[in-house]
Amino acid sequence: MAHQDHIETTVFCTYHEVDQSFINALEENGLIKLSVVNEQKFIAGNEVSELERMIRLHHELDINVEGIEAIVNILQRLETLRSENISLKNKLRFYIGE
Amino acid sequence: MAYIDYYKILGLTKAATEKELKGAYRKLARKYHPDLNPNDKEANKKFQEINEANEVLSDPDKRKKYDQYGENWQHADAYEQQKQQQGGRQYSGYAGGGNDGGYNYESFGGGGGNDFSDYFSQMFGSTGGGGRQTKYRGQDYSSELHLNLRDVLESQKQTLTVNGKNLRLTIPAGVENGQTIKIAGHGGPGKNGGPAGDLLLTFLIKDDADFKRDGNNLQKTLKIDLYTAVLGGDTIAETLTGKVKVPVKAGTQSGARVKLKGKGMPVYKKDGQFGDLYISYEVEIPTGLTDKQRELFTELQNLSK
Repeated sequence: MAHQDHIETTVFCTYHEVDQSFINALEENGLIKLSVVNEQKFIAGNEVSELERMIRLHHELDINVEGIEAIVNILQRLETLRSENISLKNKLRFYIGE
Repeated sequence: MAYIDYYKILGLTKAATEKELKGAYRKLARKYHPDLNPNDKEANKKFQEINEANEVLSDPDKRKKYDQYGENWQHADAYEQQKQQQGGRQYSGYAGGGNDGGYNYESFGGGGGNDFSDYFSQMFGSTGGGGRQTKYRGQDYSSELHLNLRDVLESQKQTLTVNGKNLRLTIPAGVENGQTIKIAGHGGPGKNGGPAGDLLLTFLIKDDADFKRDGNNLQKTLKIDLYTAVLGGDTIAETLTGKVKVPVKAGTQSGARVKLKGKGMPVYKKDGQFGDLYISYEVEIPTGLTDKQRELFTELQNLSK
């Protein structure tokens, strides 16, 4: 594991003023992946921005873990539809021109 | 700079209780929160309006000042001064000339770093302090990068200037027209120690004069002479990576297609994988025939009868 790409969850929790139990709950629900090294939990650097989004939803909008899971799923579906839409628009451009 | 009706923004009246205010704010924030409305500038703007309204109305001191002066905010300072000079005499009949000209949120979304309207800044100062110091994520910035089709044949590093800062990024090979990538933390600065927003970079890729793109595949029209089309042979086709010799079958018709495997666009984020190039033949009919050629064509025509 490239250590510099991972942040210890206790450090992350202190910085974001969030309880470790919330991070654990997100992990239990499969919303984030944590790595454990020497009994310390780490979050991968490329997952931090997604985790920060979940924390904002929790803090700013009072959304619980189940609600966050539903939102994440819907946003993922939205992103898939957006990509499909771009791809279809490009296909249309291919056949009918600009 | 016009008066902003914060109650109206939250769908409330002046008589709203603290509980009603909190409920209205939560409801609207859940609807317009930027994390729930990615790439939606209107929602982002609306969310800032809601936040500003909540910042004022959820703070008892600010709400009092707003309720007291509201539309007459331009005269608030003069009024306060006079009140002090007059030893607190009541000016119950005071009605200044503040005009209700609707909303003016021009200061929003301009990337200037101030999340509040001019109206708010004038009335409460630009910092908005005093109330609960909620951490807010910075605004997402959107930008477009115009590229040619040939620019995305290979991953390339480019340096962009975003808000005065140089940002070095790698543009992945095979990126599609209209595709947006998110560069975390390069948007507007966060508020009260909140994280910075993201930079959303959309690639706009111009069509090439010779090649048409269809996903990972390319299409090109290639002219061949009548004799090669009839008798078969070879022709040279230009691909995006150089010239290749292409066999032409005897009896090739106009519109016939051949596939050049792996000569299309690189597949996005899949190193070493490429789409295909489809070549459509266009048979050129000779013009300006010599007498001899005309004679031979006539002979061929008679043979075909």
